[in-house]
Amino acid sequence: MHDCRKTKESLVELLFSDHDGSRPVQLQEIETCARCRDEFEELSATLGLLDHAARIHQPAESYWPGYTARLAARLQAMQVQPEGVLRWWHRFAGQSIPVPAPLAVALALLLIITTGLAVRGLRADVSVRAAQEATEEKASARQEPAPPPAAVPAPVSQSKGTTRVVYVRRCDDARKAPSTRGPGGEKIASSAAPARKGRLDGRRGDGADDNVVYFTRTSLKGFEPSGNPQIRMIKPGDAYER
Amino acid sequence: MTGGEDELIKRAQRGDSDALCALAESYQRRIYAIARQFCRDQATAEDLSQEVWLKAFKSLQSFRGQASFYTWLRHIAVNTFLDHQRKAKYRQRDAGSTGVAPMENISDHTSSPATAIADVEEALHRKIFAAKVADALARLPPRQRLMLLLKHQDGMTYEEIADIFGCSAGTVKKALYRALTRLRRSLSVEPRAESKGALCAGEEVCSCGR
Repeated sequence: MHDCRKTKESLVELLFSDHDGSRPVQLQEIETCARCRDEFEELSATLGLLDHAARIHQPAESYWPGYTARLAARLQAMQVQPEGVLRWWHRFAGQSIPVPAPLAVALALLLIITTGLAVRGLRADVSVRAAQEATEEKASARQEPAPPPAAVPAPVSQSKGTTRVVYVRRCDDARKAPSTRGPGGEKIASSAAPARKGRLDGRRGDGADDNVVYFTRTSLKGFEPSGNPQIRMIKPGDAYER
Repeated sequence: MTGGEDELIKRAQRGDSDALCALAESYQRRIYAIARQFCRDQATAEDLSQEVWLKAFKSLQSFRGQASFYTWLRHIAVNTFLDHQRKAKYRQRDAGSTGVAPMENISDHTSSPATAIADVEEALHRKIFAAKVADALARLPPRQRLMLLLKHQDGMTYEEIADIFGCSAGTVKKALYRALTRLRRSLSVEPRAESKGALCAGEEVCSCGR
């Protein structure tokens, strides 16, 4: 069965006169189909036009001596060109490389992305370094005490600090302790220190003997210190100064 | 490779440019013929074909004699032609050129003695025709054009062309067919009058649907 498509595929071989075993079959195929034969003849005529044009372009014999002379001159000129590194540099500096547009775009994108990433990484490094430096500065400021300030003369205050321990509760044992009262019930005071009269619970102690405790430094037995000691600064001239 | 050619190659490998010129005399017409069909004007063809020889002289040290000298030279020629085409393309793009070369002067020195005898009108017709074919060839993609010239002009085999272009022989055949059909369209080659409108002789058995 004749197939024009298959015949077309073998037309090229037939046109360029490649002699192989299948050629008689191809010729037979072409002879049976007018369209295939037409195509073969058209393509043959096209090749004939090419041949004709080539013959027109063929230069005269007188052309060739000049051609060879010009080639010899170019060869001589090439040989006297600078050698080595200088020649390489001349070639390199004058070189232009045609790059396909998609490849050029891809390379440009790659360059932009790489540069962007590098700049971004550099910025991150700078900020991290700045943060680290700030942290280190803070840490060093904590560890290393600041240099002592210059001595500034200041007025010396004449005040003194005292701690006063207030005893708020008296044990029953202490209240009954015989050593605090004399045989006649009179209040006795230590001979080492003058007896003191104080108010313990904020109530007035006048006429209320139970609430008034006379104590000496040696008669604090049975009293417990308050959990909330009151500290008072006694300045010179203060009523509490003794 | 002949003994004389072998000796010339060895001398050229030692840097003897005269030896290369002697070698060129053997092959310059074939290289020039391809270059002349590949590019449309004679000056470019000469420049391009001589560029092939200059490149061959530079890289002659790499020639080991495994293939024939002309096969080796043809590789250089193909690369040179394609490089030239690429550069010309960029130059045209930069200059905003349409890529149409001017027709050559009729009275240039390519005129053979036969055309010198012929009248001016005949010479003009020949030049117009040659320019038309050159324009049609120039419209082909460079690889297809070069494959066609190497096959038709230089008589290379499909395998040799495939080897140069790094493809299969089948690809070469398809490219040649496409190149020829494009060329036929550009040159407006008409079928013969008697076969116009003729039906496929085996129409009832033809499966191509035409």
